[in-house]
Amino acid sequence: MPTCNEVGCEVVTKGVCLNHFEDLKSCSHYSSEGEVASRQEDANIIDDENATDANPNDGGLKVHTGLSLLEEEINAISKDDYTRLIILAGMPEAGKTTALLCLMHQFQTQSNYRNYLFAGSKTLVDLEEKAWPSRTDSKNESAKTVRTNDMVPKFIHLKLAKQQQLEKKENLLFTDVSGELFKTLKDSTSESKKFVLANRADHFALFFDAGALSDPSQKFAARIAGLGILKSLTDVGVLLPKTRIQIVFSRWDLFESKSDKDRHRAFIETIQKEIHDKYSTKYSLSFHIIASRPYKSTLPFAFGIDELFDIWISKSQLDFNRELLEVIPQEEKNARHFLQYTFSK
Amino acid sequence: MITALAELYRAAAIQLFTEEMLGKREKTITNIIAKKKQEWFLDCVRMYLQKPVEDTTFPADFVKTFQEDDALFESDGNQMEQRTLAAAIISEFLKKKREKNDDRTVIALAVITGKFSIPHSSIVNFTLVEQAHAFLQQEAKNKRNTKELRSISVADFPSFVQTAGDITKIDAFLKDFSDKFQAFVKKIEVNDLTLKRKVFVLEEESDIHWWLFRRQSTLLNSHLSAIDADIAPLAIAWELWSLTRISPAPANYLEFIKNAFTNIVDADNTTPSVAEAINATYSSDLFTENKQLFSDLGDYNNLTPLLFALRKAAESGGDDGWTAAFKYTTKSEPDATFSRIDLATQMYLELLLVKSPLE
Repeated sequence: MPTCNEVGCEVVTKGVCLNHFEDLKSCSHYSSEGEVASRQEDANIIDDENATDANPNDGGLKVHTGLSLLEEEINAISKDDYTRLIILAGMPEAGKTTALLCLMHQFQTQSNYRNYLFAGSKTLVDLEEKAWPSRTDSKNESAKTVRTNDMVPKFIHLKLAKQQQLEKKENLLFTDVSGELFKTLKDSTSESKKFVLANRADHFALFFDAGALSDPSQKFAARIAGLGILKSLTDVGVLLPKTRIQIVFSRWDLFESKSDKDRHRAFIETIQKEIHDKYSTKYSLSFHIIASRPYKSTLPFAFGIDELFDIWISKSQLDFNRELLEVIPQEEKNARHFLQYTFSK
Repeated sequence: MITALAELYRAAAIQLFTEEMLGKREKTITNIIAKKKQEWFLDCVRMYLQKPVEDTTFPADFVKTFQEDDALFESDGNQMEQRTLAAAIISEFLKKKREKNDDRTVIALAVITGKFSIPHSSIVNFTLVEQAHAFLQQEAKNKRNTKELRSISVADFPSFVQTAGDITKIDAFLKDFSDKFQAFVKKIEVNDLTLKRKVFVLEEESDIHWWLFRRQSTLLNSHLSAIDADIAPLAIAWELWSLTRISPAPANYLEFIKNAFTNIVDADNTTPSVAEAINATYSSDLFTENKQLFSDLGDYNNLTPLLFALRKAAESGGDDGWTAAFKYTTKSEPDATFSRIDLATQMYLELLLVKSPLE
């Protein structure tokens, strides 16, 4: 009997794959009848070859699966060293996962990227699974990223080492969350209040799909949705001033392919201005345009990702530690002259 | 404490710990505050600032102490958590009530001097540094504030109303008078101590003001303007330290240092590196003639990086090899540059830490 290991997938009973694979053999969780039997035989062979008298339940070594980390698993990383938490937020199919995969691709294909070397990841399997549909070997006609379906926050881990200081490692954790969750947060104050993960975020990257923003039938909905996410989280106070906010206009190749670019650019600029006017006094804001995997475009692969990465790797909540000020507080004005004496140069 | 602990733990735990877990940590920290000695807390400061600890058994003891209340507390792979707990311990220590042998000033000063040359952006839970700074500011004021004098009045004494031969009343009057007189004497004694303290504080003020207005260095027996910029940090720090009678330093000590530096020629022109400043200081007559004093200063090592560097420079006979020991022990770069005022400020605070004024 065929099986699927993906939690919540009903392909066996209803024939529809949760990850929307049309060819079920492309899904790594799916096993057909023949494959199951074959694996069973292989497992037996392995068991026979390594047969010992020991009970496999005694002294077994639990190894990490390589899949994305749950909230209760991420502390194992953050307890050892300061870990930058980057929340990738935005509506579904805004390009969040693609941006992350594109970043990972840079480390896989270059000896060093922006003076950093890849130093490990606890979620390599998950990254590979997500990247698979965009690879030539997947035999897809065009590069794809499977939509993230998890409403429960999960995390992708990346460990990097600075080229000039290899002993110093930097841990980054990216949220791996469905856009549906942010849709829920946008519409519900009570749900937004529960998103306390944002308190600890070093970066909050809010993705706007530039393709949708330059489509007359979608632009206003896309604008309202993105601004709504930001408003919800800032209004309830889960997004703190110590968190840097990046407003990312993704899928810029789709914008570039439009004919009436000036009008669309003006619309995007109004969004930028609105965000700047409302939030720049309280938050550290930056605006970015990216095209992670441009399609039939003159833009290079990973366009704009380098700027984003530079901010993510170099900045954190710790930057907001201020210089200590050696001044006498205002209420001490009535104190002894000796104590309040400030000398003029 | 649990709320403060949860806040401190954010750096180490992205997913918040349970209240049960925080409760265990709180219990351990409370026991630590009650039982451990000053040296243990100084190693906590070192752990917080990621500097090598003095006592090699400290890391194991630290873990073991927490494992007494939480058997699942890890001994490895949780360096950030341990730093966070070290910060929590110091934070609670600074909040405790004043005791007879109060170590809080020493620990708070150690945090401030120990963080020298560490970029603020790499110090987690910076609120502890702010707390130490605020504590020192407040303690400086508390120690220099004197109590109000107790009022003494003739009206405090009972007046004798003579009646014919009433021995009981006379006896009661004498007892009452005796009690009031003893209270009077007590008040006089307290007022005497209060006034002496007030004079002591005023003398400190007067000495510092006189030094600044005269612009005269007693150490070098010269006008401040005659002091070479290279040895100015040590000279000014040392002079101010010798005039400081109460620890912590006066709340506006930085203003005193800045004012003294207005007399030093070319003080602002360059920002020397730690290595340059220490080498210049080591070669100076001021240091050479007082070498013994510096070798006698207490052993806080990497919590007093500049004094440590001076000692190492002296041990190496001026050879630049001392920079390697400095870098390894203090985790500071000898090439890091600072203004002369910053160097003087750091040196002043370090001197206050290693040799507190005898009050």
